[in-house]
Amino acid sequence: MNFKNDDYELVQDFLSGDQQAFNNLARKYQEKIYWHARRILGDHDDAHDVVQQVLLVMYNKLNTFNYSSSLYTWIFKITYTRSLNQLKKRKLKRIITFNFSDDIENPGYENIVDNLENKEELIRMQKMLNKLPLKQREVFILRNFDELSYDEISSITGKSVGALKANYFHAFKKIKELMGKDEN
Amino acid sequence: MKTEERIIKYLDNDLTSEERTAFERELKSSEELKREFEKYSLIKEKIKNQKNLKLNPDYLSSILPEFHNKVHSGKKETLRRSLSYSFGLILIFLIGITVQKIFFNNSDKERNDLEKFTQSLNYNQKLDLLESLNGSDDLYNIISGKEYVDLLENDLVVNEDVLETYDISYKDLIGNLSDNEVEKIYNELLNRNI
Repeated sequence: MNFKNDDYELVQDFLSGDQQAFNNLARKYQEKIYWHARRILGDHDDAHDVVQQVLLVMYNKLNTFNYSSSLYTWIFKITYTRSLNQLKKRKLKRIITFNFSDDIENPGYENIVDNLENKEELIRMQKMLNKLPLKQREVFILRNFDELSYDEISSITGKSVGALKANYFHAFKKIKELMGKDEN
Repeated sequence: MKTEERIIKYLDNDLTSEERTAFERELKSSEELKREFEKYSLIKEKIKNQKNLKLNPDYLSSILPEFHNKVHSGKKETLRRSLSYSFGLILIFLIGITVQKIFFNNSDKERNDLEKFTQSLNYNQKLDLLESLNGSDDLYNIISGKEYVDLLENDLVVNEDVLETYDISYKDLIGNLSDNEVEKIYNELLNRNI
């Protein structure tokens, strides 16, 4: 088994009826959930929706968690799936409302991020991430920002380690090219 | 392995220990490798800085209350949703029945109107109507000209469905011939060596 003792205890306490245990779990992971969704989606409102959805799934489905992975990986899998769904929903909404612009509706940096010394860097990085194809973006974010191993990413995304490494290589190369163009 | 691949794998800790040692040795001696390596290292540095970003505490503390609010109002929402679905289904059922009635009533009405119309036609008008519906000028010429009438039933091509729809019977067409016309037709038939 691969789980942190405190996660295990919190899960057990929650399943025994302790609501506070759930709140503690939520507070522990909510920021990671938010940032992962935020980097995939690029938009604060969408990321916020995903956080709420993931918490709801945790609340309803923690009794099905079987400790075959770490709780962290389990939560990330839910976050990853919900983020992709949100992306599809956003695309469909744009088609229906004839809004074909790729501009992000609410980057939401000012009110949401606390230590925003270098807002420009954050915006720049997000723009570069948005330009990556989804397969490259997701592995780049999971590897660099979420610091997951290739095996963990493979169990989350369902893709082979070889494919993930290839996508990661292309993503990194693309980011380097975009950064070079931006500086010129 | 290409240079870029080696750099990315090195930064990703994906080289074997031997490959790593060789790469570091080359990095010290090659300016070109160093330049390329620095570009990728800079990206890693920027990523590291952004990992330190924190969300506003006020925003963070608002997430759970909003969540719990949704969970508790969700139970009421489920009942409301069930009622809405039931109402929607009843409405669809009623609309379906109404549409069906209108459709069938119109269909019957249409049929009645057609029958009334055809009853109001005289003999020649009925023929005109049949001809236009059958799409055949020959039939009209044969009957209306009254010069050559073939009374054998299988030669008189009449669309039975059309007859039925417009409520025109075969006897209506033939029954209106005068005695002289019948005599003429009879003589023609005799001369034809049927």
